[in-house]
Amino acid sequence: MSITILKAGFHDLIQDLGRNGYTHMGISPTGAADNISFRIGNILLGNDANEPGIEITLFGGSYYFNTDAIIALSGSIFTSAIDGDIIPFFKPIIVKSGQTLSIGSTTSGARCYLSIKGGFQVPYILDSASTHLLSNTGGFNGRNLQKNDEIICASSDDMEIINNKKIKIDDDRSILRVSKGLQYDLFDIANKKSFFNEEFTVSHNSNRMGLRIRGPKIYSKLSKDILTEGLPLGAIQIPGDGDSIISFVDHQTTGGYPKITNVITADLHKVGQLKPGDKFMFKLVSNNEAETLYFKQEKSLKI
Amino acid sequence: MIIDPIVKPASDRSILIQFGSKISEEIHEQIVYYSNVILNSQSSYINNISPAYCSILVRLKNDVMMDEMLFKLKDIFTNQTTIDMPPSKTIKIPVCYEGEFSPDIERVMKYTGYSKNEIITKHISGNYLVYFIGFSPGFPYIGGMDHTLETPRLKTPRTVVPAGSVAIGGNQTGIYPIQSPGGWNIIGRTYLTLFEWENIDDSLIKIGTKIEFYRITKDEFLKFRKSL
Repeated sequence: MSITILKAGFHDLIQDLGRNGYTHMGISPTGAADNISFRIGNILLGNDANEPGIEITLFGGSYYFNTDAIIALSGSIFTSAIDGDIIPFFKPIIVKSGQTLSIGSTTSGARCYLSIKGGFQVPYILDSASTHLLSNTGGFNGRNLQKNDEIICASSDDMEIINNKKIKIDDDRSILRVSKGLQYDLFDIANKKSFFNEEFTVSHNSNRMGLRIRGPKIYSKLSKDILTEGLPLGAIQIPGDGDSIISFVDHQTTGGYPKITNVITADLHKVGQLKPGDKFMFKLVSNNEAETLYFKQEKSLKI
Repeated sequence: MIIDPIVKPASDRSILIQFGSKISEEIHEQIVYYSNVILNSQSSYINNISPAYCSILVRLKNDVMMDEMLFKLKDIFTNQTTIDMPPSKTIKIPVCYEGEFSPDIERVMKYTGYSKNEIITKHISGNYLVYFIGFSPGFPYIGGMDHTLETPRLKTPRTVVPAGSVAIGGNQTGIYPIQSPGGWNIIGRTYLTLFEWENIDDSLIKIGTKIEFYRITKDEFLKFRKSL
């Protein structure tokens, strides 16, 4: 029971919802960059929400099925076909043994997810299947998938499609909502004005650890870094060069740059869909409002 | 000196507990104590914690409300609980400061004005304390280095620093537990395994560990590494 990579995508990674419980040992939580789309893929198949899937970035590859399987594609729409026949996203699809799934380029955001009924099977490291590239750990041999890799998947006797649900995702990426960061008060009014009133562009020098964004230069009132402290997911760090960094799923567990704001949890999935060249602006909301939006979003995923 | 901590939201899903803003062993002891209390008593409400020099960041589990968690954490400091603290350990780390294991020692000589032997003597005579683990898996933030050994980080970080490398970055010393990129000046290497994914609870280096370095020759390094 497996699939074989005939041609690897740009950056195919095994992910689940992350490796929690070990940041005090310096271990990044990692996990799917767009955890909403990731979970929807599993929900469509009747899987546990945490079942390992393949995260595909910008363009995918060719995946040969050595077994019958039910799969789902979720996230940004990538041109995709099975043996040449175009297939839809957000729908459970039966694949026969001997067929090849080809995933081309994205037509919108940065990432899509290939989920399979029963999940892909890789060794669990500290209770998670997620790949953390920086430490070469987890997923498939701690790296992105390459040609000829064979990924084990659960056997699926039950080929009945039980699920055909529609879940609406907020995918407007022109505005990212943020709440005040721990060092918000270290920035003066002029710098905050630039931060909230000007546009940012995602730089090519971005990855799952952090997105470097180009826009107005932002400077804190401090001339040096702060005392190293824990880093929240989505924190927007401002290094001395004035170029903002959104810390993301593979982030280092601690950091010493001042944090002006944090992307709210309900908008983190949008960060996972940003690609180099995308433009957006920040909008400030309170932590209370952010929490309400988050619980509302979680409720919409429970069916 | 006991500092009353400030408990405040750090984001919409995390809370920072701040114990003043100075690096000190007293504050460090409070951080170690409360990190253990939180890991023991609050594990059903939290995903992760990150202790650091003067703070503990607490990341909430998905279904936990911020107000509820702020209350629970503040309660820890009003109703003092006692827990069994794991004893603070001192570990002795053998370091070979020779040859290919110390590619940046000449850079440190240039910045400090010390001879190679003076650098080694000063480096092994420090009383080192692991304030916390952060940055990358198992990486210790170590305090206690002789400040005259201060050497600026490399302008261009190395893409690969071998596991076990002992280094100086600014006024701190550090050890790379796993192979990773890094920009510190490498002055030696230990053959000890300092981090294992499958054995994380028994890691030699943890928050609160005291470290003593001692010097070994290259022959000893190779001999001991072989016998592991």
